[in-house]
Amino acid sequence: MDNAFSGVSLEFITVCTPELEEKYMGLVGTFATLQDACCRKKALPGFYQPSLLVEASHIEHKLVLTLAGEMTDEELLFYIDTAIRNVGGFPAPRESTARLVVEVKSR
Amino acid sequence: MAVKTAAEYIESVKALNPKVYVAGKRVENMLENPTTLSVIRATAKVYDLAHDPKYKEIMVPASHLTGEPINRNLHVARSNYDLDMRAEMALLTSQKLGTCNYRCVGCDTLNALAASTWEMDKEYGTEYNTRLNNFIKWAQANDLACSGAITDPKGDRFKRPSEQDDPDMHLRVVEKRDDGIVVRGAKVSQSGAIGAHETIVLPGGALKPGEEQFAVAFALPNGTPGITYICQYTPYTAEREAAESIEELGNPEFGQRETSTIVFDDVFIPWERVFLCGETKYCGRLVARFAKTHRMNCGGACKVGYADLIIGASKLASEYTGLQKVPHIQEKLIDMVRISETSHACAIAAAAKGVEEPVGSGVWMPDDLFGNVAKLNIAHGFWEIMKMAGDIAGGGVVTMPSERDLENPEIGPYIKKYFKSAAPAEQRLRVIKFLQNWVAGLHGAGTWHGAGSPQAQRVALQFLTDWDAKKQLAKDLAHIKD
Repeated sequence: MDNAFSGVSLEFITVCTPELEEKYMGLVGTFATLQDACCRKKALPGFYQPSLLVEASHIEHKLVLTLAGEMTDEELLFYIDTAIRNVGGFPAPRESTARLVVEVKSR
Repeated sequence: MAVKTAAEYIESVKALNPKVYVAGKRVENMLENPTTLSVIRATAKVYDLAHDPKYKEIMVPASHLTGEPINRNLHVARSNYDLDMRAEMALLTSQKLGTCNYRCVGCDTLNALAASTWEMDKEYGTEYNTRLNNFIKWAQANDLACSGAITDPKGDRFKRPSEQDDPDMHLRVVEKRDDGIVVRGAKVSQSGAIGAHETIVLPGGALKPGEEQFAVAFALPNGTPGITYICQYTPYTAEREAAESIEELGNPEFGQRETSTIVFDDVFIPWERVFLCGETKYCGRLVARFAKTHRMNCGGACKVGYADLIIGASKLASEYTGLQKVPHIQEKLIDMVRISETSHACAIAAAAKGVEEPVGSGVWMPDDLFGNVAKLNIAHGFWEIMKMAGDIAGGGVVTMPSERDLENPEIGPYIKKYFKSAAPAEQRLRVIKFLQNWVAGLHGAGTWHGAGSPQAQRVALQFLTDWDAKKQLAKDLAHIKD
């Protein structure tokens, strides 16, 4: 982990598609902001197509999202990467330990 | 190093897609819309200045939290020297941009919060200062552009926030949850949030018990759902949209100061990003701390930088028309310098006379009196400067043709012939167009109201002035006995 972030209280999020996985980090509350956006506002941050987010559910530390259309894993990651950046998150080193999970698929 | 380059900033902005409207149309790509692009260019330039060795002392201090080099726009002043450098940064960025340093308000909100959260935690045992420092460390590590939002729409000015027919006229907390708060309302006249990563929101003014819902300060990422940015629209926006090339414009790259109305439609803020919630007692103090800092920087440095540009262009205009030795032109230029440097002197004094506030916090605040005088002086003085610049530039500052006319093969020769003076027509038209940007632009009203309208400074001076001491001095010398 970059020493620039030592002393910063952070949270780490694993984003999983059916085949791929990436890690993200942000201030504590980044996951809650994403979860609130998807479940209460029914909006994927950074995107404004009304029908993009088909389904969003949240159980404890896991957020499960379904996006509209047949998307590749790379496309799914692109959408969630943009969404997390729009709520203040950034990519984290792959070896980061992440308690919080965003699972995304499409249909 | 955490000090990002312009290219890194622009790359980071590409991934952001806040909900932005210009003239009723949603902006799909801020790097393609001419108005929003000017904000991104200006913000990028501020990043670039931090990498110029000439400006390292001004732009790159060490973080008081980590010791690492950071961009000064994320720095909390810890000494009189820091305050002076903060004002120097405002001067430099204005000189280089000719428009807003869009990270400036965010910087001043962080400084005000650093002082006030420390104080609140001492009295109430809250965690606001810990949260703020965590946010600042995160922002510094990522060199985030932070803008600031303070001004509420306010509704009926004769009514308090709690008396408004529509309580949303002042941004407020509508729900408190275990994981955070939900806010509703708007902030107006907000500079540069569309090009920032984060916005720091403060209450709009002093509040009373019973108005706890309006007492809120927080930081939020600019792409958070529920936020909408409705950009200002002026003739300069229309001109930029219509331009075939930015070279036709008065301030080609960076344009006018672009602001927006930010609407918060039940936006969620996690507790970690909340720095004040319900503490009405501290709202007035918090906003006053922001104001005194911003008035030093805005009135005594930023507008001085603009004045430097206007004075330089006016001098060029006089030379291009062969009038540089005319006495009244020289006198006007001297008066422009007098007005501008008086405000600059006030900013230097505000920094030199600044103190730790509150005592024990480690945060340095500018002198209140000199900060307010800096702003009040330039609020009036800026109109005078522009008046004199308009005089020197001549009527052409508002009657000049377009540079497109210059390029037209049929009429271009006429422009070159009849607008040539002591300098070629192209140079003369360019400097007059630059002056038009000021003299017939938005900066007069912007300077008047920015960092608080002059009446606010007058109220401050009324309270800051020791009238009794001055009366006693007069009595003593005049031998007046009570």
